[in-house]
Amino acid sequence: MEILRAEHLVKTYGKEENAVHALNDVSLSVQSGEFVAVVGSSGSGKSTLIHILGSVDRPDSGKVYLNGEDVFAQSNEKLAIFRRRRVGIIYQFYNLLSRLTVEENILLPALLDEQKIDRAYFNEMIELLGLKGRERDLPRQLSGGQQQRVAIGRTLINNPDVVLADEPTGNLDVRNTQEIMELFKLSNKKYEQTIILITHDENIALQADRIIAIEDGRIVQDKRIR
Amino acid sequence: MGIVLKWNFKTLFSDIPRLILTICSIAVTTALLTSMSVTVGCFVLRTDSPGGSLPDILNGIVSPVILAAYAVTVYTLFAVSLAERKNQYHIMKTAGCTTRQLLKGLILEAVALDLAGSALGIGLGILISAAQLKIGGYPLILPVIFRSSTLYRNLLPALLLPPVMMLPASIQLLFPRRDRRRIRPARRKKSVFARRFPRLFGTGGALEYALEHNERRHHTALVVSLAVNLAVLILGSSCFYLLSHAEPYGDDCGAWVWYYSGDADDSALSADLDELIDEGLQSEDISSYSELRANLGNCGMVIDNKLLSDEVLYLQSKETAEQRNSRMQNTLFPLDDSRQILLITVVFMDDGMYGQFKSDCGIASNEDGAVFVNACGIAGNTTAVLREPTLSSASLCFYPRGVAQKAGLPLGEHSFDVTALQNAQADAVASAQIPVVGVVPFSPEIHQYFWLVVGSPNLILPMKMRNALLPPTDEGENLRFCKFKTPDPAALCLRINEKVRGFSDYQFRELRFGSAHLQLASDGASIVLGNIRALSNDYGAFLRQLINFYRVILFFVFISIGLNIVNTVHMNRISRRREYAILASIGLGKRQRRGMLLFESARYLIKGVLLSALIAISVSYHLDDTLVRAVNAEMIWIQTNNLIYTNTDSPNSFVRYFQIAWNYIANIANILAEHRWVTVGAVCFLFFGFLLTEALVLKRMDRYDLVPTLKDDLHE
Repeated sequence: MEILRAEHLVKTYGKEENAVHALNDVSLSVQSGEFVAVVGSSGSGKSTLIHILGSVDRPDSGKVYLNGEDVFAQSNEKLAIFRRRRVGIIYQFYNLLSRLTVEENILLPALLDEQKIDRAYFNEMIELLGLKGRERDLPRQLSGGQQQRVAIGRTLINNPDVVLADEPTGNLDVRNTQEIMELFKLSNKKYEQTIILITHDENIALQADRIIAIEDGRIVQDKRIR
Repeated sequence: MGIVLKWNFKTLFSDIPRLILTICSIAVTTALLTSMSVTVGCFVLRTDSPGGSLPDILNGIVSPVILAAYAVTVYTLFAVSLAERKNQYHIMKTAGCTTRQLLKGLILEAVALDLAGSALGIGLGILISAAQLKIGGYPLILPVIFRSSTLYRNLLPALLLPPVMMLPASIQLLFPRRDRRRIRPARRKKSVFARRFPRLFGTGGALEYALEHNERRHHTALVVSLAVNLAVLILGSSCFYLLSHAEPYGDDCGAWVWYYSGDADDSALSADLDELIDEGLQSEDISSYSELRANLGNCGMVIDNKLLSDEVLYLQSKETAEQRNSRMQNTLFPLDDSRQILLITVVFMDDGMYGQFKSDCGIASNEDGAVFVNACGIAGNTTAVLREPTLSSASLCFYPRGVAQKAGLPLGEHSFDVTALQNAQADAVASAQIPVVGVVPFSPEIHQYFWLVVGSPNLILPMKMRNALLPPTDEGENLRFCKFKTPDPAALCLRINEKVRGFSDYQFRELRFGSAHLQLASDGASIVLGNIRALSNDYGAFLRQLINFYRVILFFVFISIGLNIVNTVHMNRISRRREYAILASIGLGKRQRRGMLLFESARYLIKGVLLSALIAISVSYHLDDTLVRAVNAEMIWIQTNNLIYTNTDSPNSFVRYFQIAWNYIANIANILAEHRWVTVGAVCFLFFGFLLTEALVLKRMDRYDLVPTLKDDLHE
């Protein structure tokens, strides 16, 4: 089943001579439960793609459909609700709220959504993330790998349709990188979570089901490896 | 020029609106201070303002208010600008730029901005002054003003403030707190999201509460900044309120003016006086000395104030003896022998004002009825000195202490016994080079009344006139005393002078300018001028103009504080930009953001207002007191109702101080209750103004791309 579809996305930064075509007519389709890796060199436009798919940035033209729904046709208010329920973004630099505890950070999307907190699910997730006993700590008391795991927890708490990760292991060491990747694979297998992950590391990309290569704002290769 | 400075300037010029805002803020304050000093200086020079105390004291109150507001403005401006450039400096530091280099660059930047803004401001200030003085009909006398200390007293701190305020603004940047020290184990058992009060503001309120709960440093800084701004606002309003209610010569005060004509058949004068009576001024004829005495007994006194400020001394020193003599000859009026006129001007006060005056000048009657004059006086800086007996007449004068010191007059506590005073007077009369017109001795019977003497070199009075004020017998068949009661005695005096002496207003003014008080020592005639000057219409107008001028100044201070609060809120937004971006990226809704804002505003306002009220009330008690005393001493009646303290004892003990402070709070509460709609309006205005500012800033933030903020790895 197709869960995410992007059509003719164009995004340009700068003007005239200095114009940089971050995305130049990009179209793609992602099936539910797929684990996609997007690879490309720096400045190839892969981060822009993720930001647009996650609706924190708007394309100059083109459309994004999530579950058949046109994302950018919604009002700002709907878009906010969309962000908290349907997508989860993970950044290279974690982007945790430094003034909230680990627990509050993880629960934030659920709290914003004014849901009743599912403690069992939360506890299960904490175990899974290996953050047991650190719930009351502030993010800066944790290591980089732990902080990234908190960010992953935050994206997973609302069971989003799709998880978007922008070089989540960009500044982690090998061991932590592997742990994070195991987590992604686990959530992909166990919860059938759709994941789109950006990386420039081939070893990481090879752990995904499908690899999309982007060069100068265009998709140059799209192959299924598993 | 160091590389850091170069870079700083590049950044400055890359954000032109901010550059303009900074320079304008600096320029506005320097312009205010310059125009204040110059205008008031010229007023004072031109009008020979007696005492020099009111302008001085008003300046002493208003300029600290302006400077305090300025300090906070400059601090916020720099703090915001640095917060926006924080990343750049972090990068420079990692690139090997030392703290010293950074600091040098920043301070030089502040100095450059300061110089640019001040140059603009001083020019602007002089222009404003010129316009203002032109409207009032006064000339702009810059050479003298630029030699006066007042200008530099006002301007120097303003010039120094920007580089100085750069230090606290940059401290966070230069010496960031070590992460280690901020980490403390979280002790909370339960999530603060469960708290009830923030829940009133919805999820947003709960979120904001949780955010603030973990780190208060930022919150405290903002509250303090707001509180200082609000405190200055309250202090400014307090001044504003007092100045708005200061009316020169209120209804309860007035002057009794007696005229005596040596020639009882002077029909012209009689007609003139009748005309004045016809104008509806309350009046009555007095035809006997005893009546006069009875009336005098109820009177206050005339103070022969004297201005000995820097400016005037400067004028005097520049003038040669010939210049002075020729000016005297040309300007002093020749009195017509055939029309001998005695002008007695007595300003009298109602009980409240007299009481205030008595306490200000330390006059008290003891059981023996002797008059004591203590050196305490107006806000503790006035002293009473006995003028040297080389004068044509002995007189008791009140000088501001500073003036007395400059003039080398004896200071300290003076208590006079009546006999000594009378002897001094008699000696003075005996040694006088000119005829003495009349003397009112110091006597216990007219203890509220000091003396008044009027004379001129050409005026020769009959013996009975000289005795007129002394003998208890009625010999006044051919005298006519008219008593006028008027709320503006100055205007009346001027009118009478015009009538009986044929002076035009213009001549009269010319006569006084820069000369009158200098003649006091040798020339009896100028005593007339001195006394009239103090009461002249011109002086009343001067006071009104002065007060209006300060009102305008305070108005500008309010505007600058408004901008300041906007800036503070803006700074808050900038420093939290990342937080908002993260929240937006995980789906913070509009309603929730509103909840956050409302809760934040409510908290800041409640804390800020409480803190500022605490600061303002403690300071403003002294401030109001000083102002009331100052203004009263200049014989302006302030109708502040509740704000005047009937008990004028100085707070000499802790308990007493709090008693007075409590009364003050109660009075303010009364006023607020009286004008409750205004109060409610003001609070709503503050709250919604705050909200509006936040909303505007956030709207601007909405236009920012979230992406650069989210990708930024140099957070915190």
